[in-house]
Amino acid sequence: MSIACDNLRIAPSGVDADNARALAALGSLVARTPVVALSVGPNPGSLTRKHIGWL
Amino acid sequence: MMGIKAQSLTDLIASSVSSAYWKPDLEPIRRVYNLNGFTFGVAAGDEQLASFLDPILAPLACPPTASCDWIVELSPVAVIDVPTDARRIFEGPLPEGLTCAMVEDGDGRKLIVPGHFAMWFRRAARRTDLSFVPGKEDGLGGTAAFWMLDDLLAAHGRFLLHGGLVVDPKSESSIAIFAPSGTGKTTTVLALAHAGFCLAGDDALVLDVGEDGCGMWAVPRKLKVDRKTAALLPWLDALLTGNWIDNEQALEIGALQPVVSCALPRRRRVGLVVVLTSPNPNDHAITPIAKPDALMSIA
Repeated sequence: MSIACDNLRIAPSGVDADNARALAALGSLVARTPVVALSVGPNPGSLTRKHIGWL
Repeated sequence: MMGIKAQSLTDLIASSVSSAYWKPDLEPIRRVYNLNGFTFGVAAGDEQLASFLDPILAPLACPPTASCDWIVELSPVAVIDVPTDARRIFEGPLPEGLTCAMVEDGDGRKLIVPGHFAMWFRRAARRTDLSFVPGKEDGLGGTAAFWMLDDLLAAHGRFLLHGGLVVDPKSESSIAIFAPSGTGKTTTVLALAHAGFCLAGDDALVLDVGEDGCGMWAVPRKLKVDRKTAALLPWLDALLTGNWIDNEQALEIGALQPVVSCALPRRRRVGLVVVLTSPNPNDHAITPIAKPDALMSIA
């Protein structure tokens, strides 16, 4: 298992206080909000509201 | 009483740089930005210097005022180098190619780009002090500006994230789109905007957790549209009238207004989080994702 580190910075000494708070905020975001995964097909121009489950 | 005064460091610096840049007292606050709940002012010797954040924050500018929640002050200096005795937290190149170091320094951290500029993040004083070598201040508005913004936002319980954002015009809820660079975030954000959502941003988001839930807004910087996105979304052709640099064109969000609706950069409740996975050769596919997996992908 690996952590992508796109939004958090992990120093050799660990996660600093700001990044720990950011991780907590991201955890709240994911916990409180509907989350979906989207794989876009060959024609992104045909994306509509329903493709992200938003009607 | 008049007398001989010992030459201070300030005087030494003042004597070594152009007087056009230098004023001995606090520089006036020339630009103020409202980051959806708190303000910060940029104090500098001239308007051009003070507007170094306009490329990413101009729509958030408000009338200058003497009272701000935070001050960013720019001052010219003759030399910028990394102190040899400083505790280094990070050392490496910025994406623009400049070498930098982050060090612990007294009541804050310092980002130092030797020979160019230094940013001293001083939360206890609610200030960011920027020193620059005159003529070498161009890099201030690049990645370093985002590091400064990141610190300033974190000091106020907000978090700068990498992601895109569109807004549902009916509910005024925002939809956050996360994906690593190069996996189609800009293309997806633009396609969704063309499908009826309002475009807020494709790269930098600000998240906070308030009493009303999670809120977000997008930093209103230019979009970077690459040739592949342009080929996939031909309706962009009419807008891509500039020069291609490294196969990219930068587009002001407002420039897209004739083709898609654009959202003002203000905080809205987050209604949906979309985690982009690899494109597929068949058709768009939406699938459930376990929340721990989503958090791992976003983090």
